[in-house]
Amino acid sequence: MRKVSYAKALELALYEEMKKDSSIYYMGEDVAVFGGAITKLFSLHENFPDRVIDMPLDENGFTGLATGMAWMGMRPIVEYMYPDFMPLAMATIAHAISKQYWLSNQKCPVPMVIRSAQGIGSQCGAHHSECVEGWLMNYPGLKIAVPTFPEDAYGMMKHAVRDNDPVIWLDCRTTVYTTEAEIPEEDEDAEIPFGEAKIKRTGTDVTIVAWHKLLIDALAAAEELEKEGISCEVIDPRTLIPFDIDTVVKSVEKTGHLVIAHEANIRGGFGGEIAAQVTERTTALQAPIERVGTENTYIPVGMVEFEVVPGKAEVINAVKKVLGK
Amino acid sequence: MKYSKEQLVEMYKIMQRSRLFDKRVATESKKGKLVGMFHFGTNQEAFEAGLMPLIGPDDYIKPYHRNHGCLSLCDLKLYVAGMLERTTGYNMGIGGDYHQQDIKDLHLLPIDGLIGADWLPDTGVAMALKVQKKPGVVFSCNGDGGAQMGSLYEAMNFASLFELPIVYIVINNGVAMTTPTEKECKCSEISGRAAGFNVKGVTVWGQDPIAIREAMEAAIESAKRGEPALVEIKTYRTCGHYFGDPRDYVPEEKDERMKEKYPDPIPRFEKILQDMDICTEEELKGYTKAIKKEIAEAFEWAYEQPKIQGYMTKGADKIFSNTEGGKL
Repeated sequence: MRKVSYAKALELALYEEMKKDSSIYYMGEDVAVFGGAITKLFSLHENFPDRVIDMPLDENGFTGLATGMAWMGMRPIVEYMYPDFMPLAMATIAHAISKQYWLSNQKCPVPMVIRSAQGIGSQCGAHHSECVEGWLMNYPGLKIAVPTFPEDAYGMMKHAVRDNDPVIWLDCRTTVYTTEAEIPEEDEDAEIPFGEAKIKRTGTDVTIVAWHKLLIDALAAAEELEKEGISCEVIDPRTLIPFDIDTVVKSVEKTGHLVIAHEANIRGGFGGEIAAQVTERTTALQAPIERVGTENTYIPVGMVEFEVVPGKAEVINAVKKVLGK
Repeated sequence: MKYSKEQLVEMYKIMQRSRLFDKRVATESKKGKLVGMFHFGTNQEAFEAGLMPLIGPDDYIKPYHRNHGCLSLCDLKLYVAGMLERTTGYNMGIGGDYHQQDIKDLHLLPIDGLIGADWLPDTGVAMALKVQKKPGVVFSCNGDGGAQMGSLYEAMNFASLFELPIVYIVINNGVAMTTPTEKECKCSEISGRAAGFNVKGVTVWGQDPIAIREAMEAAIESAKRGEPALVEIKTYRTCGHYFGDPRDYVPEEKDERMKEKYPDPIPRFEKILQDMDICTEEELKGYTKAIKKEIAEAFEWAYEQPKIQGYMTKGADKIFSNTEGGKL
């Protein structure tokens, strides 16, 4: 086992995959010598100088370039410095990437990964702090991965790179260097498939589904609520598309209560989709579902960002509300 | 003449096939047997005659929606079946007239419904050829409308930066849907924009397949050396944007003037072939008759094929290659 940060886990997974498969290219702004803006992946360019390529400041351009490469059977990975820049490439993502497998009548898959670290954490304000999974969930042809912990990032990135479908890979900016965990050795080839949620903490009173910053907050909230005699089951979905609804429904049937927490805006966020899917599948809910998320607003520059997005306190309040306490 | 009779006849057939295919689509459409919108390339077929004979087995092409001459790459029966929503056609019949594609076998790249959005992925195909050290050149076509998209200029920047084997083709037929080119941009020649990206730009008169072929040959040589090129084909669309478009937006005086400047390439080429004693009138009539027969047979065959049903297009396995147990 190796004890590493999230960023290091990601770097190791990418390095090990690039070593095995020469069709993997890593493309983005300042990703080569500089190692990328948010997660430093120095070893990639050191080891594969021809396959880790700095791109001109043109998200639409290099996303399109990578798309053509993927059509040809290569496995490009595209990095955006911030996912807020994704709308620049949205025509390509929405059509040339997400529709291609369907339009080609299953003849031409698009095996590419688009990755970016989302949310607050850089104090850079409204154009550098968005959470974007809600923008993407309405395209049928995209998979969306939202790992939070190093061991998941490691195994899931191996899967993302090997997957024949386009994967939107969203990291959480506030946790890329703050969490550390043990990951398997290289020779174990520990791939984690998509669509399998992980129960991070078992409990009996309320189910909390959360990812990224709010997952860390939910686990802290559960710790505190335990002292008050409230037992929380915390589920990390790890991927939103595909989504492991069975694990969530099973948990809700046990607890009868559900809180969904994410950093993205509440309206149109993935939490609404989870709430709908749960209510379609079970009558076990004993109280209305509570969603925790950013109120429909934007993120100001500076440390005040932590006061705009929800945290542990909001999760605790939501749990108490659904339990009528 | 630098080209053999065989080569010249091939060029003639491509033009005639393109024209006659459009005519047949119009006839079927009038009968109410075709559903959807159809775009013709009347008077601009010399372009396909100049390019298509040069496409080799390693090359890739992305035509645009008026390039029925590019059907010379396809099995016509399968293409027509695809157009008529038949399951045995290309892409199971979901592509209609111009979204049919087959990158793997035909090297026919997909036409994006957002005109001009495909310049960049096509450039990515050239990038794949380059980094994998594979032979071949990519041909990416759009009209003067598609040439107003910023992505063409982003694409040329990447192509010149990474020295990619790609030829960009702008078929400037003087009108984007209904808007004349002079209302779209101030450039008299769109090819002039290429210089800013260190890409070779050239403009060719679009009614002469031989001049177009020579320009393409030079562009291909250049692209193979890692010097991407842009070829602008200046022509004039004498049909509407879609079949049924009355072209009310074209002033009569302008139409006459432009038709004189850009005469019909088919009778023009027929005259050259006869004047140079390459083909007799009977021979040309014979080729035309054979093409008509081929098109008629393709339609007859396609009408007999099973129609696609909505359910066939749905399901997780249609969207994803790996559905993880269907959990979506």
